[in-house]
Amino acid sequence: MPRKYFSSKIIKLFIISAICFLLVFWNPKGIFDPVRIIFLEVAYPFQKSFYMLGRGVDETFSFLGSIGEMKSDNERLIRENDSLVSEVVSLQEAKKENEMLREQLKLAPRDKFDLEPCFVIGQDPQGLGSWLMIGKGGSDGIRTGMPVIVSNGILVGKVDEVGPDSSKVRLLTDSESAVNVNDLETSARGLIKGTYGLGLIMDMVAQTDALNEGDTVITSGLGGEVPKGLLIGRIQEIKASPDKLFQQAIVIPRIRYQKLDLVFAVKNQ
Amino acid sequence: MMQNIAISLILFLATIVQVSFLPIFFTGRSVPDVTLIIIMVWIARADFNSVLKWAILGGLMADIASFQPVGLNVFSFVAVAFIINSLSKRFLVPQFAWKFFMLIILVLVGTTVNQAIIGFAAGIDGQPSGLFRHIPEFFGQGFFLKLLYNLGVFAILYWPLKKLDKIFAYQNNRVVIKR
Repeated sequence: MPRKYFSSKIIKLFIISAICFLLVFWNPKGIFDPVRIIFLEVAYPFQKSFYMLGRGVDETFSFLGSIGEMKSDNERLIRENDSLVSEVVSLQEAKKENEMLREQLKLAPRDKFDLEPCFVIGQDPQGLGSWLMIGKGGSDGIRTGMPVIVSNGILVGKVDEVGPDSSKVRLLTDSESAVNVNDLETSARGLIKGTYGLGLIMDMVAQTDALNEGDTVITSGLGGEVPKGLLIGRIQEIKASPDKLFQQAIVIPRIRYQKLDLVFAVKNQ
Repeated sequence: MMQNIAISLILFLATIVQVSFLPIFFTGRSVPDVTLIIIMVWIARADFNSVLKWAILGGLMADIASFQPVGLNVFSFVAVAFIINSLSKRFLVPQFAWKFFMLIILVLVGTTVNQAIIGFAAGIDGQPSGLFRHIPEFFGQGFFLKLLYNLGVFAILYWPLKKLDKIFAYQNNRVVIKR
């Protein structure tokens, strides 16, 4: 009797494994889309509530943890405020200069984007592909390929899949993400790629182009999907590509994707 | 019927918690596998055939909610359920302390198997450099944290799930008596 039971268990395991292998390797496009749409539709209010609850709990704990540091922070902020007042005057001058330069470089003015504000309602729990789930979908005008930014013009990723009320955003750190970029200081061109959720690499930079540690990396606008001039991050380290044909740079993203709760889909560039 | 609905609801909520709640507190690959832990607790206490459908459902929900190829988590959950069930039949004994220690070992084994399958799946992208190339990335520092967090989740969920089993068993008995 135990022998019979054991063999039926193994047979079941083999049958299920074979079906799963077929599904994973064959990966039939769209066959599970109706199921996914229904699941996401049902899950949407729960996801939104749980994400909001999580953010609330996280902020409460962060606040409680920071109470001890408040006194010293307050003194430091008073000193900083004094120096910032004088900086404001010089920055107003820089602002004018910046507007002039953006016009010359034909960078889209950030306040002219048609932005759709979206709450983040989910994140990749396994690190297999880096993504965010946002609480806006096809019914709100979200389309595949739309760039997603945070309010101050920092690129987060692109819309990858669209459901009726929610969408998946492929982050820049995803291994399949690739966006054309420039080094702001030297104008060196490259391609920013993700490394399985671990960080960003600026790849395919010609050996003749100059890259410096600390330089700012922005989108170049090549390809047309992502507007020019969106901030990505700062170069931390420069190295040669494994085949020595190009340069590579490790780029530190400007924001922590894990801490995002509100992002903007760029509907019209 | 009510039991099936309750279990489906538990798996659904566990999947939502894993995708929309826990990633806020746990970084990178250290997010605890709540759905997997629930399946592991059940499979250690019951027979493979009775938990198989829940392992498939939990895996399917995890695949759909985390935008992974459908079948990946199903296979992972079923494989983990098979291993845990086989091991628990050999090593679990009624003595409480030893049983709990063995359950901890089983959770560690289950987490490792699941992580290995997910790491293997990351290599399925048509590149010639090998299916196993991402496995080391999935066994870094984040993995050890995940082991720790999964043990924490196991400790939190073990007794409530045990209690739930008792409630289900009581209800089943009551139905039998009514007949």
